[in-house]
Amino acid sequence: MHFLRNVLGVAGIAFAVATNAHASSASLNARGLKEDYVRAPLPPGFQVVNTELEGPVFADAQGRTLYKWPKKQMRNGDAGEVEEKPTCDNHIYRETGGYMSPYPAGLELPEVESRPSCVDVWPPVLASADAKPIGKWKIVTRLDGRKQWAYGGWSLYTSIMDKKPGDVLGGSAMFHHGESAAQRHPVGPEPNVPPQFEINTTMFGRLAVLHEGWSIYTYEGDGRNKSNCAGACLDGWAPIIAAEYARPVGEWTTFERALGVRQWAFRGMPVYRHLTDPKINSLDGGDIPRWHNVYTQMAPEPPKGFTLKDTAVGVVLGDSDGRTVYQYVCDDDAPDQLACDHPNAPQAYRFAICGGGDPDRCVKTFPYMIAPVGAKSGNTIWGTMYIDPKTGKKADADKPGALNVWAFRGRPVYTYVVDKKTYEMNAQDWGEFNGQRNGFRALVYRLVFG
Amino acid sequence: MSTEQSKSPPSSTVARVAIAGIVFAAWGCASAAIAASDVAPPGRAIGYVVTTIAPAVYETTDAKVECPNGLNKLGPREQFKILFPEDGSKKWKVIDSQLVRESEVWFPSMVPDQFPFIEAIGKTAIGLDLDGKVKPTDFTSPEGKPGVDNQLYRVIGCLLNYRSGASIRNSEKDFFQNYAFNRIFIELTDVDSIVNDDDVTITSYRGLDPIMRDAANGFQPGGTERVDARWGKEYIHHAKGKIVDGVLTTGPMDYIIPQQIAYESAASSVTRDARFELKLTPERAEGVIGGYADIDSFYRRTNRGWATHHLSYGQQVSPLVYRALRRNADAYPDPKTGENTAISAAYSVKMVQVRVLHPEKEVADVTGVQAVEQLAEGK
Repeated sequence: MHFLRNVLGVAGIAFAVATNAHASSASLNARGLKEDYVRAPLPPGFQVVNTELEGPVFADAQGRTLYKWPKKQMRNGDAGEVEEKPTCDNHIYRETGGYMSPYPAGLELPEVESRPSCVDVWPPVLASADAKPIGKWKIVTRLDGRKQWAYGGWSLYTSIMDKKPGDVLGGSAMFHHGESAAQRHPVGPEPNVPPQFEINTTMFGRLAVLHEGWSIYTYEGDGRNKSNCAGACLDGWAPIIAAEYARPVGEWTTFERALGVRQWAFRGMPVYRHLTDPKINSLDGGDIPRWHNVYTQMAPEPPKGFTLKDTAVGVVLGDSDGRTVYQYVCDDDAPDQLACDHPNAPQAYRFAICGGGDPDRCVKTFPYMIAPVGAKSGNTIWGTMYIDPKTGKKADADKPGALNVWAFRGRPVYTYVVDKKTYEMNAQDWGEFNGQRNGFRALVYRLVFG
Repeated sequence: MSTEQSKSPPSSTVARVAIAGIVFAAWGCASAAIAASDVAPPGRAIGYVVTTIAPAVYETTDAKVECPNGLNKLGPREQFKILFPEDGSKKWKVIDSQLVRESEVWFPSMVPDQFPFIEAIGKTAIGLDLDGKVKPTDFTSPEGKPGVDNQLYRVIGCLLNYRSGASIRNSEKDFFQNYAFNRIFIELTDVDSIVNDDDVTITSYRGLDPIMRDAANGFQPGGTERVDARWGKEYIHHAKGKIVDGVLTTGPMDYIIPQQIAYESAASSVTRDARFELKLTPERAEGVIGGYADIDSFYRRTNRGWATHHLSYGQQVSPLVYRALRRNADAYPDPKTGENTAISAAYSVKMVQVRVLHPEKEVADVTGVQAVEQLAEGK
């Protein structure tokens, strides 16, 4: 059975059970299937790479993912870029910008002597002198006069965190919260879907929803291009009707469900809206036997030994004992909004929040999730790394005291010492600004409330 | 069409809600008669969903009685300016200033600092007598009942954030009412009368439905609450109680108060040995919940929900509050250290009647319908 089905309704079930021998409705979400996208012309030297979590993204000739940096309003002013005006440059900021109340601007940043510039971390995607714009690909002028590629108006960058094609470690379409910094987002082609559908990145996969955000579902009782949902079934489920002018798009087709009435189907299976879903992007309808959310592609499963469990907010990742797994979130307060959530960044922020400035206390309060020696995840989302807990930075495997830890998107993950019961997540929102600027947040797979 | 489709929750829920509405509309129309005739609610059960809940703070004009020296005035912003003056005398570092202050929020020390913290004084506080004793530290209720245990009031009574009109208190009220995460309710069962019944059962739950409102945004009785049996297990607790002259009093049980505010935060605090004292009508319930607030969860809930930025609006410095909580703690001593880990507390609460829908049974069951039919027939 599909792993999503296995995690719903029962707390603390391992991911191991995964295969689905059921009807085609579920198998359309099978692993290995990839999301289709609109094949628009690309400038020379660019490509589309299908990534495991974020779906199709644009990449340069070396396969490095492209990112944008949209402006965001924060407590005291805006950071980020507006369209066609790149500002990420080689200035090395030494002080805070005072974006986050109540602390003033002008405080000296940690590890200031080795602090990189914005372009050290986010190299701009430069355009050659003879580059020609095409479609949404434009050429903008940087402050230093050099030319830079932009897509849809947004100036493009790569991330020094990405090392190989498919890496999207610099930023994500997820994890943006109300008090988050002005973060970078991966940029990709339009999903090849009819206008009334959209695709959202989630921890389970690329979730298909209606344009308004309502989730869509398929039913195992249906046949290929045939709906068997009628009568009382329609009290709970609304077929997604296709307009008269609608035409098939990629894997999306229509069929006649009744005389003169056409319904959309994805990969041949009729799609519906669940009428009592309480919120957009809901997975609630998938709790009903034989009904499934629709994903254009599934996300990789966490490594063996992790669990999914029910908590008061929804389904959350747990360790093998069901303890909540947290990621550390951090962006500094300088105008370039550099991330401080990974082992290459200054660790002073994390040490302050996880141990009152004491690395030893950090390890006791927010223990790293230790990985077995030689453990492999089999995907690019999860991995292991050696960490020196005294510094919080990467270490050689043979360094005394180094810990081999699990990492999600290139960042170590943690548990919290106070959490004892499987439903507990006592460190959710822990840290500066609800844990959204410098703190800990649970890896939530399904947000039921919020 | 498979048979399971006809049993799917949406259709049955709609039917259940509709029938429950009919049942309670009928009962509500006859509420005056019910109060007078002292009859059982439909199915011998009645639910009340919480519309407002906040730490009880007895306030006098300008706080002259409880805070004669004024409210706390030096909040995070003011203290930071004193500690790290921007007068050009020194270049301050993030690591030595902002991060030190933030780390103290999450790892508060018991060592006092240079800043005072004003606690509430006076003899009057809202709350319940939790231990059956009248101690020197106890308060007297506004109605004159002695022995009120509410040491939390000493801690928060002179903090603007907890007093009426404060922005955080108002925001928390709005968020509580609007976010589904916060939907908590009680159900009274084995009820033969909501006027006098010496043996009822109270159960706390989290619910899955919004509170019913009227066109003026007021809360209305007659709504429904589905029990959140999957995500809300930790909110389910039971106790016995009795109703005397329309006032419910209960025995102790743990009570979990959720807090989801903006920005997707989600925390809860635990109150041990919580007791309810609620004046009941067929439409509403109102009163006090007293118990011993677990200090760690109360403190974490505050800081997970509200950033230093927000707390600055009310001059609330978290480490100072933590030390005051520990100083005034009066229950649940740690077995190893002997230090109290909980503090007596009281919450003012308002509720509105709802019909409770349990997942394992049809709620608008025969018993409920029969009760209304009997009522209509004057039986």
